[in-house]
Amino acid sequence: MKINIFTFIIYILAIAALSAFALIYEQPAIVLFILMLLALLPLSLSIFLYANSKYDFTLSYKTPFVEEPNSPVFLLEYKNSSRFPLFSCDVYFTADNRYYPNDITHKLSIPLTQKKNSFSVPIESFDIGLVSMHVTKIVFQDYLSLFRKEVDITLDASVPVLPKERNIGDFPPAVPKDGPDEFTESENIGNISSDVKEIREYHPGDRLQRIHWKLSAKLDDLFVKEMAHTSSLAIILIPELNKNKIHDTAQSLLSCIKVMYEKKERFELCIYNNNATDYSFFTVTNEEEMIEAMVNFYCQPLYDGEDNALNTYLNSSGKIATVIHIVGKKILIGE
Amino acid sequence: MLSFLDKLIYKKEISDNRIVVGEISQEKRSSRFLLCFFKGLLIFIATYCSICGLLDAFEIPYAKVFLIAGFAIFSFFVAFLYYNKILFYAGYIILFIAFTVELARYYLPANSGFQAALNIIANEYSDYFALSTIREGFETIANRYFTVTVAALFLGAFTAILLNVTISGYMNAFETALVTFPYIEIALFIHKIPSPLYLFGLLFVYTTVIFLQFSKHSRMQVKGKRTHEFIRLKRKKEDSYAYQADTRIFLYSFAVSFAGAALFIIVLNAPLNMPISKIAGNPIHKQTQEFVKMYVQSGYTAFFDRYNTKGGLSGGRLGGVSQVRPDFETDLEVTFVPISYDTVYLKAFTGSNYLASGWYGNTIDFTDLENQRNNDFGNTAKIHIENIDADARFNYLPYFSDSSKIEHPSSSKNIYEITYKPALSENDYKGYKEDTLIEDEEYYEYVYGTCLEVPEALKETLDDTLSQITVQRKENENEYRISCAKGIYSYFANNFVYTMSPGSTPLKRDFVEYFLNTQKRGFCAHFASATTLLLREMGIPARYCEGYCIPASLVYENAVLTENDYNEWYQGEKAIEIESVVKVPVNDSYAHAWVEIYLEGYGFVPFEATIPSFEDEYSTGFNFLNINWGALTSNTLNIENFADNGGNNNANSEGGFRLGALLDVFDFNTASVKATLLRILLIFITVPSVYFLVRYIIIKIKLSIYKKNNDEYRLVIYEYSRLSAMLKRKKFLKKKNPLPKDVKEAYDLYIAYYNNTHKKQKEIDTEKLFEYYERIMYS
Repeated sequence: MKINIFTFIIYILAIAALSAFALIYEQPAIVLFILMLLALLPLSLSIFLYANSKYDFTLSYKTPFVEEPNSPVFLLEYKNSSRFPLFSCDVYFTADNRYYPNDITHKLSIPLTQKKNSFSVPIESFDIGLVSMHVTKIVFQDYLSLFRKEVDITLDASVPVLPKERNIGDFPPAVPKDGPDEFTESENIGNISSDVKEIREYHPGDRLQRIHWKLSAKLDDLFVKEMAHTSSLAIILIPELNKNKIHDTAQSLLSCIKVMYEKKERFELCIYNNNATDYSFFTVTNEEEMIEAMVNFYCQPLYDGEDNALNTYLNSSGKIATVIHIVGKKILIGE
Repeated sequence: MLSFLDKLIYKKEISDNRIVVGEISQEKRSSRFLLCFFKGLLIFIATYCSICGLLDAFEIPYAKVFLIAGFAIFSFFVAFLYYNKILFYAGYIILFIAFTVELARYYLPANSGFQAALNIIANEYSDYFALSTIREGFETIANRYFTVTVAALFLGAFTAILLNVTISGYMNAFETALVTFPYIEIALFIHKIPSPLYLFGLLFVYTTVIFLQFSKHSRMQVKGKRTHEFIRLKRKKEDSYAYQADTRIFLYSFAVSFAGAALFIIVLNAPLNMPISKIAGNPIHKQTQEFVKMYVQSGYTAFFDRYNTKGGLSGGRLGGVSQVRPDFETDLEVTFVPISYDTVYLKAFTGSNYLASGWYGNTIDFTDLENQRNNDFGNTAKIHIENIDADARFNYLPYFSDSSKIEHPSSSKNIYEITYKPALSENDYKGYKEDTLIEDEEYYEYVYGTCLEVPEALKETLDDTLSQITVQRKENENEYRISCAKGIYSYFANNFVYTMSPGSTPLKRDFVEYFLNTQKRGFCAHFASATTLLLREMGIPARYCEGYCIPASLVYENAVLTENDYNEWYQGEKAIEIESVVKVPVNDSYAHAWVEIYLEGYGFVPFEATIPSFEDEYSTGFNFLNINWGALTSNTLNIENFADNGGNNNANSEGGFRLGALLDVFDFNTASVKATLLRILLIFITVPSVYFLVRYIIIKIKLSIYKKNNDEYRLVIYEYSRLSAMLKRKKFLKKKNPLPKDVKEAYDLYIAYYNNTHKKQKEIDTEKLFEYYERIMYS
């Protein structure tokens, strides 16, 4: 526990000045005010000593990700397990985007008068990326701001700011419309089996190629074939983390991922770490996996080259598949 | 516009730091209404306890319920001004206008009540310090119950406005105490303890404000973006965000302060009433008491005097004091035989040379020469003088005495006797007598040179004044000289006013010039100085004198008969019934200045130049807010109807109450009303003009700095703001928070409109201009 020297001196001086006034001018009524000031000091200190350790802080976020131009909102929450509320505390935190680190410390001065309360802290980022908030220190103040207790704490939360989806057309490019019959559907990319795993009712958004026309005609309703995958790997997405095109790359990548997992295409995302010249592979079949993959994408170091990831992948004994190379707005498809 | 600028600043910050903390919010928000209510409550308690505590301590009568209601309305009104920005600005304007107009309407009762309260308080102080005299404020309305209530209401409104700043605005305990405690301290200083309820209230308010101040979550700003929940303060390496005000902090502070204050008042009430000595125990207390006494006796002007004026002699210094403030302590004790109703003058100081700041003695002392003058009017008298507290530099001698014949009967220098030849009246020295002393060349030069000298710069003023004075021509030169002096006296009596509080002479003005041309009111030094110079300008040798005077009234009222032998003390004629040797205590209020006129054969003889006083000498001179509000109301509002006409001695009532007159506040019939209205109008014009001028200058300075620093960003922001404001003013731009494209569209419209309606065309490439704006603003 530390003393706020300046406030303490002012407080003592105020008592001294009042005492001098009371003594010089023989004013018993002023003694009341002096005694009150003197009594407040131990009262404030004793409650402060008891109550300051009873607070529990947590940091979380409102939504696990946001799409630009929205800002991620972090939730700072406290719970007080004592009977006495403290009036004020200062929460020190930093906020940054992994792509744009900064060292500005923010101080949030909040009242602690509720049993439980939460504060929404929106952090607006200049660009996409992983926006994080780190609470580093909490300083509790007593009722008279004479004493303070500094508690070092580590609370972290991160929220990825995703780019807005871009229209990338029919992706991956569809087969010619007059092509396949209903049982020998040919996917133009990847090895998708023609074995039907199950037949289910049509949902809006299902591809026309998958409609079981015969059955639909018989039952007078639309039915769709669910195909079984026979190949372990179909498509590999390789985004380049070029520092000048990161926004466009992320946008293209996200658009590809979204389109593909909504189409239930099977693909893998290969995220390259230029420092370690290594990869991480992610399979994305739902939103959670998408967020996880994007967070990982945002966490990788950026570099200048435009084909580091692709070259490293091709030179390695990695998986052989259809490669989709993403650099900025360019989406290049190759075997 | 501001919002848009905020956005720009926000964008700039993002572009600088790449990250910015947005608008923080709390899940359980505090109600602004409740916060205003709590603050109103604090303001009310503080106002009520300070003002009513003072009235209660001095047992000044007032309508309690009325005041409580009034204070509550004011307090909550001002507190709710902080509810939002519109209320803040609109409310303050309404408050200012209402306060001014109501004060104008109720000036008479308010001022009267203020004076009544001051009179009661001054009386209590007078009793406490055993003062011989005090100033008494002039109460125009007798009904103190009514007037004090009205005055307290205005004072309460004023206090509530100040408290709103210290509580709602800054939440500062020291400032709050500074506004409220002086009221109570007026009572506490002379150990008048108000009811514990008021002390409890103040203790409660101060404690609450201390808690709230240190909680850091009790302020409610209304300006700019500050109505937001969190106030943002930007520093170099640290941004801080503070939650403005929390309702629960108020509640907890109220609870703790209430309990604490109640406990202290209950436990410590008894020691408050303990008897305390009136005699100050230390020099600071003693000195303060002196200041307080001075204030009670003479008012605040006493603190602005250029030299000490505790009555007594000024030694020729002039113009540095605003009023004479005698302490009424005995300065001299004079034992003598009164022989006529004429005033006895005891001369101490003679001023021969006049300068703007005062009178100075002559370089050559002619006292010895003048002592040789053998004036004998057939009377011989003895006078015994004991200097108790008069200026010890001087001897105080009667006229026609020989200063070389002073006898000190005891070892003390301050006690002396002198035998002299008094004149019974002025008639004794009117006639012709040969002047032998004047044959002395140096003395002649002194009398007809030095004693006729008038500063060149004053001649015009003196001549102007003399042109208004008529003098009876006399054949006898001495009679003529006295006749001239009497002419001047008559002029002053008809055109000037005697007062002990004329105000001091401005530093750059001549004392006599200011008195004759501007002031036209003064005390003995004014009249004596002016008369001396006027006489000199008329060619009559004259001097300025200071000393003590003993009028017959003092002899009759304060003289003590002694057992001394009458015949031993006086031989000669007398024109008074008393036939005794009397001892007269002469206090400093009898210190005086007069004129000496040179009469051929008799030398310099005294002449009373000071006109009598017809005004209340010791009026406070301190009116409520000290503005000539009376001029506004005296013709129009007949407040006397409220008054109890049978009550106060100085109530001044006439006519009945006209209900319709309540609206006729502004009556333009009198010059003073016009002057007052003109002053108000001037204030209304000057204050905003100065504000806009200062604002304009600041903007110009800022712009020049931006230009010097080549700060394109700020310059563009300024230009852009100006353009947007102009478009909004001209109704081309209607959106609340316009984007640059909106401003551009509006500007295009404006240019098209302008070119249609004006011959001189404006050719502006708005596309390029706004491209430039945006590039700079978002760069």
